[in-house]
Amino acid sequence: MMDGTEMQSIPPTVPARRQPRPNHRVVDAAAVAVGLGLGACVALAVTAETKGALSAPGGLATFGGRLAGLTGTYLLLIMLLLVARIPVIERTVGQDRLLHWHRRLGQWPIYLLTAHAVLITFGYAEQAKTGAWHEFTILVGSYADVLMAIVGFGLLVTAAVTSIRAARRRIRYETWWTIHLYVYLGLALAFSHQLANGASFVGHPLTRALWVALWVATAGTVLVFRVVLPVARSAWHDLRVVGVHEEAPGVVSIVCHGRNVEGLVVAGGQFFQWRFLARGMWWQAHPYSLSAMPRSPYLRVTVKATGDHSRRLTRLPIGTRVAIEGPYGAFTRHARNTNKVLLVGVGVGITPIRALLEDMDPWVDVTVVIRASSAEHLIFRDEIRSLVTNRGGQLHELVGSRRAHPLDQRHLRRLVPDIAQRDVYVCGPGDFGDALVAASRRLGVPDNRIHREQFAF
Amino acid sequence: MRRAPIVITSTAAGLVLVLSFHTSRPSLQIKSATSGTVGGTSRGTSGHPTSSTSSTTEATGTDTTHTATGSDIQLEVKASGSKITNISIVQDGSNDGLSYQINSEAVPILQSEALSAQSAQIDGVSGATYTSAAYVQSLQSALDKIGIQ
Repeated sequence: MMDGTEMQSIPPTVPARRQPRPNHRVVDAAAVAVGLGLGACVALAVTAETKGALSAPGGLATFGGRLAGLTGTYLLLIMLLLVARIPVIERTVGQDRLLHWHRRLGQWPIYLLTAHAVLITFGYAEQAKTGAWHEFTILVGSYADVLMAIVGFGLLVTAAVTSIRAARRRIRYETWWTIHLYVYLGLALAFSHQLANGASFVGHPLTRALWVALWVATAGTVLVFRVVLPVARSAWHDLRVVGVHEEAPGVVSIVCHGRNVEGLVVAGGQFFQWRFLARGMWWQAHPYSLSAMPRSPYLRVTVKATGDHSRRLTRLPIGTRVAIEGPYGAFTRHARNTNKVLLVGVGVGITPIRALLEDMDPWVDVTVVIRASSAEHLIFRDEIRSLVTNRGGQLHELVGSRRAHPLDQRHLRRLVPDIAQRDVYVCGPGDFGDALVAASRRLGVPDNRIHREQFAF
Repeated sequence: MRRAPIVITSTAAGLVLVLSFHTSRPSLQIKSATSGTVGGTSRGTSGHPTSSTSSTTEATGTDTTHTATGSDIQLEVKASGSKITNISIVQDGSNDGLSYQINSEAVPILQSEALSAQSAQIDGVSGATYTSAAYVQSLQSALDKIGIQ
């Protein structure tokens, strides 16, 4: 059985020619495109109206309903694209920030689509000089695909409501995830009523074609980057577990053997979504960082056993096949802005720090701070010590609790006097990370030089 | 995960139910009496009666009428002497999926009625009240402009 030390005796793989470099220009261009698209949707709603139509009974409400429907749907498609894990966007922005934007955007399409339903019903009712409820029954009974759209809307609202923090805390992750998956079905159900009834699309073949193109492009992007690419990559590399090794109590390293590992374009600090194809585990994927750079044909991840799934990993059968998705993460050497870095890892947060240290450009001055509650939990102590010694950096090993080594402003200043001139990379439990980022800011580190890897998304 | 088969089957069943729901609208028929409500205002463009020395005069009149749904019906009427030879629709006033469907069926019916009655005194089409009303009004205005009836 292969363990970490055996793997470490293999020389590191020569880095691939293509590097996962962030590309801010592409992200800026994408932001511009999103803005232009939203403007185009507003313009579509406006140009569908005539002055007479607006002053006719129900005209204003109908216009409002159309505007809300177009913009609400557009924002939903943008939300899909945010979490589609488009590689160039993901490695520039980072999955945690993309998810943050996705969550913040979340409520607006729901408000807009609710307004759409209400305004169209009241607008049409006024125009037909009938009651709102009667008009609603006409909409469902006579207008094509409206019932489908209403069911689709219900699925969207359910997914949104279950994603509110208060609700999420109360339901299991698997339940929340399944409900959220129904967003795809909801969107598909609502699509046809847009083309069949939308004033901007009926009798307007060009705008119809553009709207269809927008949907096809979104669906295609999601399909390629969330399904096709991961499946192809997993099949190509054909990873299997060859070693499971305990680094510390409750912390286990898993070594995998694969094909064409030298072709894997990954930077130190990045992570993959790992799906171990063993009984009871194949239907879950979890994000784990590589704890060392690939050494063809081996990859190593290190996991802390905290939940049901991670505890099962300690008993993972040798030979288990592995499906991967990624690599993801902006927590790489490419994110730095200076030639001096401070790497801080706490507990299992040492994992990506260990990989990042190995991958860091040779001319960069590194200071490494690692902390754990006990000496045995200071994982990769020897590997890190030899890496730092070989490149002439500084290492601070802190053993003890948070009270003993608070890593607050005063403590940091003592340990790393020149912190304000460094890029600071932080990885550890949430509240620790927040405190360290705040302390770094107060010591004069600008925001664009603070980089964080957060395990809990 | 144990509940997966139940979830998948009920999703499939729900989908089948929703997709098999059929919308319907009443089929269009010629009404026995013309509808009295006219929901729009008439905005006309001038007709061109041509005076000539021959006994038959050729005239063309156009008219645009707002339908109650806020879009425009625009007709062009061609007459030879006192006989209406052709009525063509320039805009049929559709602005959403339902009116599009209705108008594509109702307008030809109104057209043939008007040509056989040779006037705007025609029965409307039930199920297409707004279209009929606007069509009749538009046709009457256009005929007035070219001096027929």
